[in-house]
Amino acid sequence: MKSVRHFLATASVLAVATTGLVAPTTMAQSAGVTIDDIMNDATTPQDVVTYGLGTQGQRFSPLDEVNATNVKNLVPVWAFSFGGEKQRGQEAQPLVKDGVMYVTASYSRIYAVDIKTGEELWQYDARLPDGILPCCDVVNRGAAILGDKVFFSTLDAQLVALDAKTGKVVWRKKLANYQDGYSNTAAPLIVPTKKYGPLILTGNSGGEFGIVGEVQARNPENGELVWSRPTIEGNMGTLDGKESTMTGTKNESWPGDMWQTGGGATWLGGTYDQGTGLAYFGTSNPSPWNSHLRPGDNKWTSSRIAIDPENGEIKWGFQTTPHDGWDFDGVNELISFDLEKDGQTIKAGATADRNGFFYVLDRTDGKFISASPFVKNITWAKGIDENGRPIYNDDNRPGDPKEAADGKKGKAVFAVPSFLGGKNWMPMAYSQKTSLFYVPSNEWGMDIWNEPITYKKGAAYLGAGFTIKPIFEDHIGSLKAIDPVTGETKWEYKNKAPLWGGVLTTAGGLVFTGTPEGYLKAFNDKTGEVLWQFNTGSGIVSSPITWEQDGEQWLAVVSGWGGAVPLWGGEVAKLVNHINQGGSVWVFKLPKQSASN
Amino acid sequence: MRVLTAVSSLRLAAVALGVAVASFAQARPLDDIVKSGYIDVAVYDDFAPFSWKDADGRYRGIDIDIAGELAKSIGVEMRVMMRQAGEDLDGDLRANIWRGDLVGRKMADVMMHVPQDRGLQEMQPGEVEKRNDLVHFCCKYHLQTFAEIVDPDEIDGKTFAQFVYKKIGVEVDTVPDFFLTSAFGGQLMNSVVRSVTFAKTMQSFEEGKVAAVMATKAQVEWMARNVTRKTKVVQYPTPDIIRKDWPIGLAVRTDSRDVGYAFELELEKLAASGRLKEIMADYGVTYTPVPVND
Repeated sequence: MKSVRHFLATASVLAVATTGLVAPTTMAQSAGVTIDDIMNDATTPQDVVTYGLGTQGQRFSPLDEVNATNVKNLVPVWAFSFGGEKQRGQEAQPLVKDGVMYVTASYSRIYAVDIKTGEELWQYDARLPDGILPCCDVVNRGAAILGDKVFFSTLDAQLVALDAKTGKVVWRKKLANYQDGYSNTAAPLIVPTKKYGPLILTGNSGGEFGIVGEVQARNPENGELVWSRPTIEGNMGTLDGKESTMTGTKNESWPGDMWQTGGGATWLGGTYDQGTGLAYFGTSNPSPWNSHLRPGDNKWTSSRIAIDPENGEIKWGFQTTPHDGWDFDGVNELISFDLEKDGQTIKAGATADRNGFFYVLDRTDGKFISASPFVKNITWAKGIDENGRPIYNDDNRPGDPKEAADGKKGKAVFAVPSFLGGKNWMPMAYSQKTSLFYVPSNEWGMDIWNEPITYKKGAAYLGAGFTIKPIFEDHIGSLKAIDPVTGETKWEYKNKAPLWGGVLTTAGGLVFTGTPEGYLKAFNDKTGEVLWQFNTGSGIVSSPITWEQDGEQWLAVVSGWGGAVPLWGGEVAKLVNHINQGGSVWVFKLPKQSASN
Repeated sequence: MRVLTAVSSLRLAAVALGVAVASFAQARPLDDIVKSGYIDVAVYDDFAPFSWKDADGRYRGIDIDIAGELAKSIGVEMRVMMRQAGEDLDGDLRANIWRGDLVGRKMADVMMHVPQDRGLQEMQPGEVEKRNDLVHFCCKYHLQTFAEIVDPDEIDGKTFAQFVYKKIGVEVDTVPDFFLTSAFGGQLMNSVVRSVTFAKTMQSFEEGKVAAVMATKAQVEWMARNVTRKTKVVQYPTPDIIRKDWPIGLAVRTDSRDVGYAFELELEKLAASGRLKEIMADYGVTYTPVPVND
């Protein structure tokens, strides 16, 4: 079947090419996504052309046809299977343009689907080399679109541009060497610049293989590198093929030459705010894991940084976990929003960190506004001081491995949250209707200890041991409505298994998210009451979208259990190991006759 | 033409995946290996002097030569699987021996260069063995330890104290890296020069950027043979290092442990005949037998 479809798609393209000699330029224009379409995505619900329903990443749709009263009538329109012998985690957010859905899948695959019929238009499977080392499942989180091209990154750390009509490769660029442990799973971010026109921004990822985090900007026409910006102080950036400036000041917050291998990967990609003209990226934890080896704040690891896309300069940085010792990766997204506080409107940004605190920052200069815990029983810090620095609980830092006796575990501490975080990669949403953030969080802790008996590439190695444990008997997952003004939790929905999917909220008064148990759920945005749910047949670890087509409001979510949770054992595994894998897109709308109910 | 290519590559992909899925569930006991005429051997990539691919694409190294002898002893062809090292041994064992990796590559019948826990010789299993209960550890063939290579014209002391003023190279994220960074109250912290790979560590010594390198003894002996600089291999006292030496052996799946038993006997023969010593000497490495009680 697949081969027949490929043949038909190719044949019809040929037919167009031979009969429509006059048309090509106008066709390309009408099919194209412009940078204005991307900038206006949040307010134009007829399409979804960005990861985050707008580059600010609010995941708020102004659509209100589906509302708290009629959402109970939602029914599936079609489901599309990704096929293949192997499935694993599906973390993608689809894009929608001109009646076509572009959706990525595990193992670096991407599909174009006709939204009216659910039929495949084309499929592209990246040919993955033998030597890739994906750390945390073979996921992909989504594509980007501009002009007549669709872009996505692959597990072997390449960025691929495909013809949106045919799925044929236009260009393919190596972002980093997969042989060195690099890979890529995030959706690329397209931003406007005055000097270069639109640029396509990517982060980098790759376990603890001695890498330095980096953001790269490329020309979407040909994939050529325009600038690069390392995240760790002491390293040089590039601009127009030449060295530009150094990040920070060498050895300000790192000892010796550790800044050359300090970590700080930008593996989750970024968001962009047109008002400030800044791109916001999160950075992962520092390397090596043992904090006793690297006195200092270790900038900019476990941080949010704001980059000027015109030249790749860092405008500001805010470190959520200075001198991290718990593996609190700081990549979580920063969402731009207007904070109404004390009669003023502040250009703010919010981020829910792995470390369990919900931060509100001034997005123009990175100044700290507030932080409040969004998970319970946090142990590693007593709180966040007025400058935004954690007040550490020194007893809760894992001990120096030197103090571990031969052949025995070092001192174990029980730390909350666990290294998988109060919130992991899954994006939260901000409602312009309720002015609340909807945060997919998890209540869990970890025993963490130093482990002298571990080996790496044939040699003795000082590892760390982790065991993740739930804190409460009845749930780990917790969807919370958080007021960014007060930091208060307005409502909470408890889910037995950990939540690992993104959130969507709408002007219809609804909040949507998926669960590992397979349900796509709709909540009342003010009360958290579950108004509707549908089981998609496998766990949901992806971000839902909604859009308007032919006068109707549609919803879509990708289903397919996987991601990092099933890779870890212990008590958490018991909650999820019965969940079957899958790989499909589900699309919903209201039946015409009941739309008015 | 294009259409045909697309179709055939899709079919090939499906076939390749099918094979991977089939091999996933199978352990191969000795009889099956002998009958098939080949044995799949996993070795670490880019890991001189034990296993690497040279400029001509040939597999070379101590582990390759030993695996060749083992294959010969049961009359089968050796098929080498070069695998990158993961974050730790547990990950390598999971990918190469008992579960397979996330991208469905074939698993090996035997994995070379598997460090073995002291606990294995006691009544209680060691930590590594406990965590990997589907792996059978066996067949120790070398005792590994750490050592330093120095330029004797620059360095003539007897302890690490001299590196307060001299640079010393390490591969990043290894025990020598952790040890030198934290030892002696952090006094050597600013003298440690980290390289991303061992080859680059070797290069920084060759180019005179560091006066010494700390690595496993086999690695520094290999360096001594391959750099043009004047060299001396030494072992300074390492008061804080927890594990001063550890045996290297093989890993097979627990349900094909008869392969391990066969190779255990063969390795005893190779040790007794002097062949193990000879193989290691070919690479400048001193063979260190594993003590019986270790």
